[in-house]
Amino acid sequence: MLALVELKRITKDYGGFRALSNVDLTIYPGVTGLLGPNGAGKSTLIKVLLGLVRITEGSGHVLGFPLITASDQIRTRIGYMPEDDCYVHGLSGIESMQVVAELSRIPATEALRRGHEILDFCGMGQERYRNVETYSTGMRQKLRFAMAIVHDPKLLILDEPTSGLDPEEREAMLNRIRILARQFQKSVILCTHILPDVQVVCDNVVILAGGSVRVSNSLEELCRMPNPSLTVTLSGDCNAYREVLMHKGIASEVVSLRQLRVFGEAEALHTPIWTAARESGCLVRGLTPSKNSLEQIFLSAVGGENHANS
Amino acid sequence: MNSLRAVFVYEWKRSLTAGRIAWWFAMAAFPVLITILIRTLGDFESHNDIAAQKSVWSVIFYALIPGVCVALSVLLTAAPAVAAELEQRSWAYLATRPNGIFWLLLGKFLVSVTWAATAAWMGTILSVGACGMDEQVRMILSLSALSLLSATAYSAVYLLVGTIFPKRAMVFCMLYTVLVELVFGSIPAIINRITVQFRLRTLFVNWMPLDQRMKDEDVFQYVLAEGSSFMQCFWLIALSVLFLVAGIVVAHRKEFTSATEGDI
Repeated sequence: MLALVELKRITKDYGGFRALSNVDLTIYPGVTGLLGPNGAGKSTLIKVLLGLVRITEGSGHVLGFPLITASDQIRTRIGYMPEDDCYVHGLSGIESMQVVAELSRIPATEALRRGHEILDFCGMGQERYRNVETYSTGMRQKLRFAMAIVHDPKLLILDEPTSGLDPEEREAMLNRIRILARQFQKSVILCTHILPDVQVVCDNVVILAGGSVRVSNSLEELCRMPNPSLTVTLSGDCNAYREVLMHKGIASEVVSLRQLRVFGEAEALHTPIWTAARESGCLVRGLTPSKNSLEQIFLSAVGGENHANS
Repeated sequence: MNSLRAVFVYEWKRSLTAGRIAWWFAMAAFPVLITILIRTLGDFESHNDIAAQKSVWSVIFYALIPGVCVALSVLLTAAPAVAAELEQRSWAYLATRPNGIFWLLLGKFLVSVTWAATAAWMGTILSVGACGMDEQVRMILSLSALSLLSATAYSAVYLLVGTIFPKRAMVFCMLYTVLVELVFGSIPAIINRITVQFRLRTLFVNWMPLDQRMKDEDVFQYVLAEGSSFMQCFWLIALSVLFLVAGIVVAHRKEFTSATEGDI
């Protein structure tokens, strides 16, 4: 698969402070979650990809174009939604769209048509004719997202697209990202602190900490448990249930008050799980393959315990 | 050109605020008020002949219109060109477009020139009309051309200063004007040749209806450029292009971020 982003030993210093240190990173098409604690280097990495800052050392390609010499070609093909509450003052929503579209070399009439089309996609109604200063947080967020995609970019970089949104708006925003990725084959780099967002939309995850890449892998791979197991949700006496399983030679561990992790291949576990429930007088309320949670992966990566740069 | 048109229109739209419009009218009215005050309170008309009066009016208009009026107008529009986008955090949107920085600064430069020149032209027409001298058409045409050249050159200079020092753009522009244009520009030495005032002053003496006795005064020999008016215009335009290109290069090289300071 052709890589979207290929960075080799990228280092970025701000004076005496090293924001990125020898970053080797390959990002493939799909939705990639870019995670990291504050000060990890996420924003610097985004600025490097956009050519907003010059790298101190290293080289790289974005969408096949060299990072340093072809920033213009790269910018034509990237849509960027900044984290800040930034918008073009003094203009209405549709005028803002037109300006950024025209700056992306789209002719005026087409820019206006595209602006309306994208605002429709983002669920913005008549408020598009209002001055942007009067917009609510959610509307500004939608406008920023719309401004990022108005020129039909191949790669979208979204910096905290769901922060400050109510649950309904958040779901709608995630849905838009999903539609862009699945139906329109856009690649997305989603920079966020909200791990459930990553869990529901991302295919790959990159975790940065201390200016270096700690984890870069597919979400599926990361969440897979080292030993196959099933998580059983019970109602009844969990200890009695565990004892029955132990008598059957099946190992298990307590996950929470009403959840057990039962070790073994799924096919081999199905019958004993149900028979153990009958014998212990418990009810099985849920049965799912066990997965590492993203929170666990994140904490172990930034805590320095898991340098799984796989 | 599509991008330039977009920035120009957008910058004009957002310039049309009550405060900016009031400032435009203030700049246009400023030379007119001074002219009326001089005619009402001053008495030099009774002490001097017509030629001397014309010279005095020419000097006053030169100082007021291509000088103060244009410089103050440009100060408000060109100096904060980069700072305004950084403060409003819209820099990221505009700078990340293809050649975004180039089109943004060029568009803002053109708006600044138009904004300052139109205020100066309005001021010129009304002030020259109010002074009551003859050769008004010559005065208006000369002052209008001087104002346009002044607006072009100072917009480029202030844009460069504003790009180098976005946080204190207006203060540094004022410092530049006082130190470089007024002090260095008046020193009869090589250094004054790189100032805008040196070229503008020469054009002023060439174009305005000045008394020959005034032109013959020694002071003029040291603070005026040699060469035709065409050459002075060429140098002014060349200086403007140089400053503008320098401003764009500096904006490209500086790592402006609209994000919160310290955001890594």
